[in-house]
Amino acid sequence: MTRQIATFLLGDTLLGIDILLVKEVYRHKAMSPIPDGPAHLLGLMNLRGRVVTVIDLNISMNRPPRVRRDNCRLLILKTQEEIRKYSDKEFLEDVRLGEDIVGFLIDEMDDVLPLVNEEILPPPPHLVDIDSDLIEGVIKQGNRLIILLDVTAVLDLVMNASSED
Amino acid sequence: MSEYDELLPLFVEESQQHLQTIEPDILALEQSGAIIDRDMVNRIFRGVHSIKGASGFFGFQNIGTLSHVMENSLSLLRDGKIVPTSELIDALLKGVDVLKGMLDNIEESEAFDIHSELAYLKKISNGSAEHHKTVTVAEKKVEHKENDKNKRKLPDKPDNKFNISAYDIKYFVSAGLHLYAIKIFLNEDLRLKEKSPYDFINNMESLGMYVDSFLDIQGVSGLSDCLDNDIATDFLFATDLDPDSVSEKMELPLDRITVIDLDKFREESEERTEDRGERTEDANGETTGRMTTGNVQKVQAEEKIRVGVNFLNDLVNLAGELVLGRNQLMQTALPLVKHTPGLNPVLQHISRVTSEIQEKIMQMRMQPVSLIFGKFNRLVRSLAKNHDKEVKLITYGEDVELDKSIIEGLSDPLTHLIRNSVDHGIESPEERENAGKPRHGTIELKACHQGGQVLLVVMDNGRGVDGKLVARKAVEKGLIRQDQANSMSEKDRVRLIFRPGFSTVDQITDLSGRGVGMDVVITNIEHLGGTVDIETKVNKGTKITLVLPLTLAIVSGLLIKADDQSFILPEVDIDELVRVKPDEIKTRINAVQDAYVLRLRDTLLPLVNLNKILGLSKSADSGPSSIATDSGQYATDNTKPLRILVIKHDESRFGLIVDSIESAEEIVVKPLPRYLKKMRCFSGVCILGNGKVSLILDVAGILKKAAIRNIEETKEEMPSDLGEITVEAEIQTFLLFDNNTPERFAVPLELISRIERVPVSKIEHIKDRQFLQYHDKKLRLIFLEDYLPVQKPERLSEGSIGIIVPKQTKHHLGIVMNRAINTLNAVVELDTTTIMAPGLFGSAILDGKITLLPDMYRVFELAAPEWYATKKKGNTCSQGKCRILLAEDTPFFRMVEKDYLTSAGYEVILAEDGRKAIQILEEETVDAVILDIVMPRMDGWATIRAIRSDEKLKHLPVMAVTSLGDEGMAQKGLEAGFTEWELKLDKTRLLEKLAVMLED
Repeated sequence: MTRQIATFLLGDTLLGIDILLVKEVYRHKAMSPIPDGPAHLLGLMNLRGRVVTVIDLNISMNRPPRVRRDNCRLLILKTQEEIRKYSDKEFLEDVRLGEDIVGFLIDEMDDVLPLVNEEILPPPPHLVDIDSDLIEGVIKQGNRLIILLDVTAVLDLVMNASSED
Repeated sequence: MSEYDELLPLFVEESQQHLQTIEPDILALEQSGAIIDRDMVNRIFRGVHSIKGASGFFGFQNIGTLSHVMENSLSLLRDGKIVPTSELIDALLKGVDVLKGMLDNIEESEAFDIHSELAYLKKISNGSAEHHKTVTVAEKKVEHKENDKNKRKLPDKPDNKFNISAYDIKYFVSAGLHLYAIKIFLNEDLRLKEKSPYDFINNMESLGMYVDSFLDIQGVSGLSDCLDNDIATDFLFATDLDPDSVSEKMELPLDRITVIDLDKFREESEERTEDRGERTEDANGETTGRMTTGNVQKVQAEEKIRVGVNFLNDLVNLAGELVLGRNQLMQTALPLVKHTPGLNPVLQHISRVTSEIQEKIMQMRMQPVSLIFGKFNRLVRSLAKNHDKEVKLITYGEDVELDKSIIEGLSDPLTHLIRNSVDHGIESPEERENAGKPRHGTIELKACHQGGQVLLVVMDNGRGVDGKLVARKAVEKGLIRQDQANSMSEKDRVRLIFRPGFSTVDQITDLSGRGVGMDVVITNIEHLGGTVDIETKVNKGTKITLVLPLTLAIVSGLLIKADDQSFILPEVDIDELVRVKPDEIKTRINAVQDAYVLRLRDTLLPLVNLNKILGLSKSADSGPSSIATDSGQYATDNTKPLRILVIKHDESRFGLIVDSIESAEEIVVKPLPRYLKKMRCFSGVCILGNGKVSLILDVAGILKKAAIRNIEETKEEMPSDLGEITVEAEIQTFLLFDNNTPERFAVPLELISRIERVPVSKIEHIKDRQFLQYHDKKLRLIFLEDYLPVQKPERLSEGSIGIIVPKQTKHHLGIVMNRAINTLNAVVELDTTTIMAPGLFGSAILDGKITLLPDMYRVFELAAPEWYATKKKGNTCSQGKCRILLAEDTPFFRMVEKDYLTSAGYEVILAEDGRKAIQILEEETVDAVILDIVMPRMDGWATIRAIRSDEKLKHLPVMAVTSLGDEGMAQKGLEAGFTEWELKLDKTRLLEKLAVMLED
């Protein structure tokens, strides 16, 4: 089965997620920070009357946080409700997005790639700076390496991080 | 099977709606007893009938059979063949339950075992077996090819397609009706014409009478078996119309309609017509009756469209967004209005329409409480039956509307309260009779609006809750200590039932008493933003009042700022706002160990700094996780005033320091994203008018996080520099009452002779005064709002009012109230500064609320000055002013009596008891003494003996002012040496007697 992967840049790393999970790409605008919240959460933003929780992927992947926030984009994900209609797509079976809208702060969008599942390779061991639990696999495209994120794992990680106790 | 997929949910939904209306009717049927309301039976009949008919389309045989049997019982009932016994009602209700069960799980409905229900119903209705002889009817053999085709399709069921009772056949024949078999194709005749099965059935019923139906597919086990064929259903239909008109009215081709041969029945019928003539007529009248009602029903039915809740919620969001956009538009366009003709009206129009849209959309979420009230009839009935009790449930205000989410959240707590009332509240019939009450207990369930909130009242006239018993139980269970129990007021004791782990019934019943009970109710209601209040009287009953907000979606709150970030604090949590001026900071804020407290009036309130709790710091650059500010800052940074919100949560109060208070906002609450669920300080999020997202603060979480050690307010004696009166603790009993306004009043119980309840109609108006005939005397009624600075209540022209009749007054006056709330033992700290007016003693916090203490006699003076023209004669004695020694232990009376005396020009010396009075008498010369009788240390009797035994004081005038009002008491007092005996507390009489006493 062919899938389409949306790829984007975070720093100089090329990441990808399934395009069916993407609701939209939005310009970054002012958001309300969450006092005493976990570092993963950058804040809350109003997206046409709905509240978006903005997540810093850098922190989630154990990398230094971004210094400058201008010129960024927000990759806004769909909710579980919105992907329900793709229930026939096998590869979305294990995806759990939750009922809240989430946005990833990214540097820029890159491309949309067609892909068959066989092209996804297991993550090479040298990707030490990214926890392998968060990666579904990697895709080789020419000399570029695209890291396919396991969105469910990232969201779970963020949720468990936001513990106060 | 697209037609099936499309029509099935419609069928389920409509059938469920039918069942919903059937159930209360069945219950009502039982209550009406032997006198059967035919309309009601017909209504039930029609409902069941429609279900039976529509189920035929889909081949749901179980549903069809069960509803058929129910229908039979109902028709017998309607004809007076059987009476609505409790068993029959049970059986019908059981049937409704099973039907519901099957509808909820429609795919499996054929697997349901309905034998017991069928057998039960059949047994009951078997009283008149004659009508249940089933006959089969065949179609006339002269008909179309269609018919033959049918037969080829159904070789194993050649002729006996329909089953009808012989009675029905006879009825058709005698009424001159034709019987038709009609074939309907699900796809062609319904789906393509956009009709639901029920539309078809209703149409059929308006033309004649639907009898039976049959799914025309061989060996159908489930509809999934069917291939691409359109499903056909055969209906048996009785009407007086000819085939052509039937075809026309039903919009069906003529070849679908087959005439059924009734001739052989006709003959049989004619033989019997004579002896059954009367009966036929009867039936005839009824048919027409039924048909007319059917038509009327059709006209009345309001057209409705069903909308999913998600869709609705989206709409609510969009409406919010629209309002936001409108606000921005207004701001941007306002400067242009002057220079752009025509712009202003357009803006105004858009603004108004936007507001209306939002309002309407909010209204769409409102649902009537009847949705939950409805099921309680059934609940009470079965609970009462199981427990051999007789209970009647009366509901009021079913049309009061609440937000959908509140309605949903109310179901459980209300069920619990009603269960409790049946189980614990209402006594057994015998017990009730012995207590002189009617055998059947009554539970009232009432909903009404009150000042932007909704009140739900569950009231029973059962045995009530005994506070002492509750307290004892609570001590046994270790919930409270014995000394705590002793010092609790009755009301507080009763409230112990709301504590977790409390249950008064020793034995666990299947109703309630599992140790989780009222605490769940209170948690649920508080979760919905409401409060629970309980009033109870032993052997009289219990009344539980739930106060709920109209909607959860919109909350009013204060927008506050901490470190330049905005937060919302719900208004319900806020008790008051305090601003501490820079020069007061040093005196009003004190450090207790390392915590800070605020002096607020006579209490010390723990303080919490919001910035610190949220981990926000004053220094702008540090991140959210940086260490909080120096806690000493309030004491040192005294250039700016401090803003403190006094927060109330459960029993505790604390002060929350914020940077600034911006504005009051109406916000739409949105749930907290799951990533923030563990943040205790927030309860939700909202979008502000400026489009920013703001977090809503959770007071309970803040309190927990702050972990204030001594959260109980520390009471502190403060020097009475503001004219506040410092008094010693002395418990007094008050009557709490209200005047049909939110204000509360209290009068010392000692001053009251009695409380009367009279119908409003008995009040007689003479000019602008109101009188009441009372014990053959004219009692003048005094309305508090006429003389005190209080809200004016609505005076109804019907119902009843309460009247407080004070002890002994020279003139007959009574104070009008709405109702007595309670009596209360309390230490009153009378505040004579905050709220003061002539006719008021002052105000006090009683039972957690600000309560006004009216001075009844002063109010009387204001109301009827002509009666109270006190002679202002020179109350002077030998050396200037008369000196009076006043010995009284109750601070309240001490103050009041002193007031009276000084206002009349006397000089007053105070003593707290007899011993103190004697001490003063030894040192000071006074002109008269006023003594209370009941005093600690040395009472009035001992004091008067001491006075009279003293040579010097032998002839001193001494007056007893007491609440001991017995006739003999006064006599005894005079014998003991008192010059006068006066009852508390009539100012005029007191002063008159004192004057007389001093003259002598």
